[in-house]
Amino acid sequence: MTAIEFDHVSRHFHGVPVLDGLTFAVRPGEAFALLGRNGTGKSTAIRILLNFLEPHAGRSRVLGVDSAVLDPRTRERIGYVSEGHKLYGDMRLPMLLDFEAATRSRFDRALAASTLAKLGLRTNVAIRKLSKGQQALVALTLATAGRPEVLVYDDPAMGLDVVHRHELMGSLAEAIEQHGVALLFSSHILTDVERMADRVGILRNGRLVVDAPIESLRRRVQRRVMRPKAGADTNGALLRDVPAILRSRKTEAGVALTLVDLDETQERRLRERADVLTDPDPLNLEELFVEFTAEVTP
Amino acid sequence: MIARLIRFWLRTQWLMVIGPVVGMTVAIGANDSMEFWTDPDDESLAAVQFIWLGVAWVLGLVVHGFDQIPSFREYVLHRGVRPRGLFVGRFVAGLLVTAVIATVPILLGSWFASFGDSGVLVTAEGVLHWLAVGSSALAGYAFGAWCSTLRGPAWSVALIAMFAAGALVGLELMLVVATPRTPAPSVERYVLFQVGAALVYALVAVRGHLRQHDPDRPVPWGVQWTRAVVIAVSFAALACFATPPVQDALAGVVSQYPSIVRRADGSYELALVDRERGVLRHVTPDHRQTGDDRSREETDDIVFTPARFRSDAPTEAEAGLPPMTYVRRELRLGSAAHQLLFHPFERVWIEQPSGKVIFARRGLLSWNHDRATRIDALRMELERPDGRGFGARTTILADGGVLGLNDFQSQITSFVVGDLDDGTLWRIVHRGEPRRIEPIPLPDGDRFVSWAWWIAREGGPEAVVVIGERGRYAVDGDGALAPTDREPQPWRTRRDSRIRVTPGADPFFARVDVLTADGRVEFSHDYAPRRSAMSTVRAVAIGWGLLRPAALARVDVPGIDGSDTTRALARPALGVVLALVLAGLALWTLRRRGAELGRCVGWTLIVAAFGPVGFLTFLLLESKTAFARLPATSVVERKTPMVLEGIATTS
Repeated sequence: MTAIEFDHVSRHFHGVPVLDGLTFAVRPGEAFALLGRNGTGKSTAIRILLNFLEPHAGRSRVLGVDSAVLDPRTRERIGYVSEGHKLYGDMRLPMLLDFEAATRSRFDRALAASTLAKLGLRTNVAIRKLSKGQQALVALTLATAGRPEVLVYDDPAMGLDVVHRHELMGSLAEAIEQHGVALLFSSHILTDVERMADRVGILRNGRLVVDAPIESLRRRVQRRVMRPKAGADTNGALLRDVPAILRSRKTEAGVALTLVDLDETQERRLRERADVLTDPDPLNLEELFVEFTAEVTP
Repeated sequence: MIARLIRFWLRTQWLMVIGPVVGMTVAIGANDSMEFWTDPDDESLAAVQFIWLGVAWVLGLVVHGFDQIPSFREYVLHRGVRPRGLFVGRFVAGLLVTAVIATVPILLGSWFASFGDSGVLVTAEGVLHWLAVGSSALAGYAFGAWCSTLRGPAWSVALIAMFAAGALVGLELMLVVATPRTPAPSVERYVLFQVGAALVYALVAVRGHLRQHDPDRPVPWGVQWTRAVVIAVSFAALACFATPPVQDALAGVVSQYPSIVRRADGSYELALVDRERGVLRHVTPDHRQTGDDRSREETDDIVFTPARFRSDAPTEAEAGLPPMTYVRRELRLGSAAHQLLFHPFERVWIEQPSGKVIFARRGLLSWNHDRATRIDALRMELERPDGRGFGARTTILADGGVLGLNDFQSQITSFVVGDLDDGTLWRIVHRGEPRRIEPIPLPDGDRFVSWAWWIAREGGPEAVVVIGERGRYAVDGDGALAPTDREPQPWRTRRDSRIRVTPGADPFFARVDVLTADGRVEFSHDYAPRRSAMSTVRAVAIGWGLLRPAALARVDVPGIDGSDTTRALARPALGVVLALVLAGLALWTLRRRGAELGRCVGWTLIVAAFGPVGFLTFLLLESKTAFARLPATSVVERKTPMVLEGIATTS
């Protein structure tokens, strides 16, 4: 059984497609990072999953329940932190814990209180007087104190300093390892993603172009530089003959190619057109992200 | 879990109670507010009603609106409680807080006030009336909560909230305003309305609570229709309130019709009066100016100047209606004391059902240079010597500076009361000893029927005329009667010319005859819109009237003037046709957009029932893009390599 499932979900805003047939799933105990540039539909996907927004096509499920009919019981099994870590700013911590306890039957007030105490947060001030990072930690603590089976975080590390991020990632890793929690999160901090995620999904123009473990992605994507022979076509014909090319751009050394799943046949076609073809150059996640999300060069 | 939530919000919000309770308690308990107590039906109470309404509205909007902020809503929504439960928890707690704010200061303030100089004036009845007024806070709070659930572009939400607020205030006014038909508005009906309004707004708000504004998806019809009905009713109510005065004002332009003037040679003609230049501009029967000006010397008299073609409207008494009260058309609440005389420090009213005359005075220090004289607060009751109480239709014959009041001494002097139930007239002597009620017998056993001002053509009231079954009598402050032939009427007839006005189908039409003393028609003119400008005004007046639902086109709105005009301009049949056309347009639009059948039928019925305001509601609530089809998938010119090996994409 999957914890989270998107099945050809599409959504548009004022006629502009934002999600286009989004399809992926997350298993229990798996951490899935949804990546993409700003406005590519990450938050929209999360909001559709939690029934804050209706899709125009397709459906999503969480813990086996259709998002369109997500009931309070299922919600209790999902820990969610929205973008910006919204909380009642006028409440103090004890009051906020009371509110959570009054509205979530699975909420473990004692656990949340002890976790917050370890963080050394002041309890006698209004939430809005805490720093952004502290507010984020409070929001994350509250989300996990309900002993969720699924965690959904929309850019959880936003506003956190390095130490706080480190603590957050540690607590998330613990939740996944010890309790088998499924985690779906979006983030722009790729070092965190590399550390946390088992799999990444990359959205471009509303379409999922990557859904793979990071290691697999590194193995399958390579960068090479090709110095073409005189008169060789490095545009239309090359791209047609070598569909593995994700991206190509001219550099001083020749043509830099980003290749996906290059097989022997395609490599031979490249060599036929090149005086020099360098060895594969491995890419880190950030480079992979840029290659997949930057505009494709014809 | 909801009970737990209510307890939580009560615990959280109790601090909000302290400030308003202390502030209002001080305000109510202070001496300056004492005049409220002297007269439980004082119009000041109506003003207080709107203070409660406004304060509670803001409270409801703030308390519920915060959760509706788009970025915050998801945090609130993602709970183990349904949105309905979250709303109920918030609403019940908020309403209880509002009820405390609206009642505790009244009770505490009354208690404090009872120890003051004018404590004698604080009565249980007065406190109850205050509590009734406080109930408007319930409707105000629920209205605020409902406003917070409105969705759409900011301008649309603001427009709906503004119009709905106008309708609510209008309905509240209707409940407290005194009219010839409702001289004593009912407290019970008032409280019932507040509770009912709170319930309706809450029931509609709960459906829209925490709902996302999504212009690209249709609002579920189960939510939409409740919103639509409340908004359409609000718009319709506002149209009913706004139409009579607007139509009346537009109909008032008939004063620009030409006057009938009598020339020095005794003939009559039509002319426009140019007061600045002191000339009369001659016009033809179809109201075209000839350019032929007449000087004053050439004119004997202006015989008739159109103002409103309503010269022979029956008086209230003649129409069989109860007489207007002294505080006619003032904001008031309550039935116990609708007959009232008042001064800054004194009040007199007739209490019902006992029928006793109550005199009440605030305690005060009267300063004469550096010497102060203490005047004690007083509450006194007077009964008729025949042991009977005054009837519910008793009227006080008085007005400022004329009868019953002494502005110079800030005192209420003796005054005259007429009881329409038994046709008797009485003089109330409440100063000096003995304080008493004396009968004023009408000559020859005549019975009191009504009274009125004798009003000069241009001036104010000149005398009070008592109208009996067999005659008319001028009355003075001592209650002395003298037969008179004066007739109460809006203006005097001029010289020997008599004017007969025959109103037409609507206020823009009338036939005016100038008669000789023996009744022969000397001159006649049919007034009608003969110029395009006047026809346009009439069309606008009728068109404005079509804003009201056809079913309400001829319904009088209590407390709103100009009902006779608005009735005359009403076009119910045209309204029905317009409503059906608009309903068809709404149906066609929805079908074209691909809306489901239930929504199409629902909107068609709403627009057909409410007409233009129903159609306006439709335009405001149904987003154009809600049913837009999914745009075609963007064409990818070249198949982009993808890495898809997730469990959903490989299975």
